[in-house]
Amino acid sequence: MMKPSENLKADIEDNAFQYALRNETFAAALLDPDIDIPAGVGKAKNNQAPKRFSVYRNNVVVSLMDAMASSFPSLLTIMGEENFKRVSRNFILNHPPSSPMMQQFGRAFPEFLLGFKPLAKSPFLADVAKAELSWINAYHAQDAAIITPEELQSVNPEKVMDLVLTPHPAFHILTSPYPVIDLFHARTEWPKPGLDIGQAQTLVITRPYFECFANEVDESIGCFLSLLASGISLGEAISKTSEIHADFDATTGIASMLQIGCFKSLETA
Amino acid sequence: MSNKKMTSAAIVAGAISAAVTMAAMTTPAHAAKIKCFGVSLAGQNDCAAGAGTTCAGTSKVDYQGNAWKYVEANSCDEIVIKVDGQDDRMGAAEELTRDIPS
Repeated sequence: MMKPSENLKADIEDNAFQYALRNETFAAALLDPDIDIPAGVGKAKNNQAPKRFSVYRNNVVVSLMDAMASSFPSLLTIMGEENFKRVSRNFILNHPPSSPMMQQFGRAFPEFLLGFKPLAKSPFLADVAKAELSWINAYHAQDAAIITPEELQSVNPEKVMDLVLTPHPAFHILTSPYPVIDLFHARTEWPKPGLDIGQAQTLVITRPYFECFANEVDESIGCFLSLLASGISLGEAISKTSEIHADFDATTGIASMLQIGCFKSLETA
Repeated sequence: MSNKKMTSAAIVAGAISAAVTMAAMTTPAHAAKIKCFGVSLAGQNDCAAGAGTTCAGTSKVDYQGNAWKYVEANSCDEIVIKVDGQDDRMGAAEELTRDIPS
């Protein structure tokens, strides 16, 4: 005969398994109206359960659509409410939340948009989604101070070539063949007069104090910042950027880096 | 002779000096700002941090006391909002109890 404690443990494990199984069926039925109402739902009076479950189903999807609208306000503006709702509903059914933290919901949205046939003629939407996700990530990134000009200037001049900088946790860079910054600002300014959809822009998101900023940098500086953020030395980053962009000016590059607050610390190898 | 630019310690050190001067001369892109309560229009309070957060442009009434907007440091106290037929409203660095939606 099993001891009571073993009995209890087996019971709990069995219950946990049953619970997980039920939960999975329940979750699947929530997002797919073609799946029957899960077993165990349906004991209400007058057989009201199917109707009530449908209401619940609708609430779940609508709440997730609201979450998408909160996270992607620029896309919502650009696409218009009707279109955005249609697309986000489709996304939700294919990519239900995988984390209880709602700020992580929608990570797969850029990729989804790229693969979504009806939007094949608007490939810039995926970059807007990436920008909006970076913005959210920047808000939720860890706090850290940024490198000050004094700090950089105090480095021994003989060692500056080997300086390696660590990106600030909120630093994000997005080099786009589209005017991603103008599109990102659709949340506050739309329509944008004179918008040229063929204009390439490089977006750098930083959070130097309490607040996130969407900075525009030119392509050569974007390249320089990306190289630096990848962990190569300052000397190497300057050389490589100059090779790719003949017009790169290291002084402007370093000044931009300090002003917009891309890095949190520096060390000499 | 190759005209490929050589990067040397002297050049990089020079660039740093010049950059520091440049960064100091131009106005800081992002001066320190502070939270100012009770001055934001409905739905325009700061901190649009996406779904699952409570702040994202969620204020329901104009000048809501517990909603804030970023303003230049030291300017919050100077904000006075005048609306005809209502008492003047001042901004504050701390949450206010006025204009809270029911």
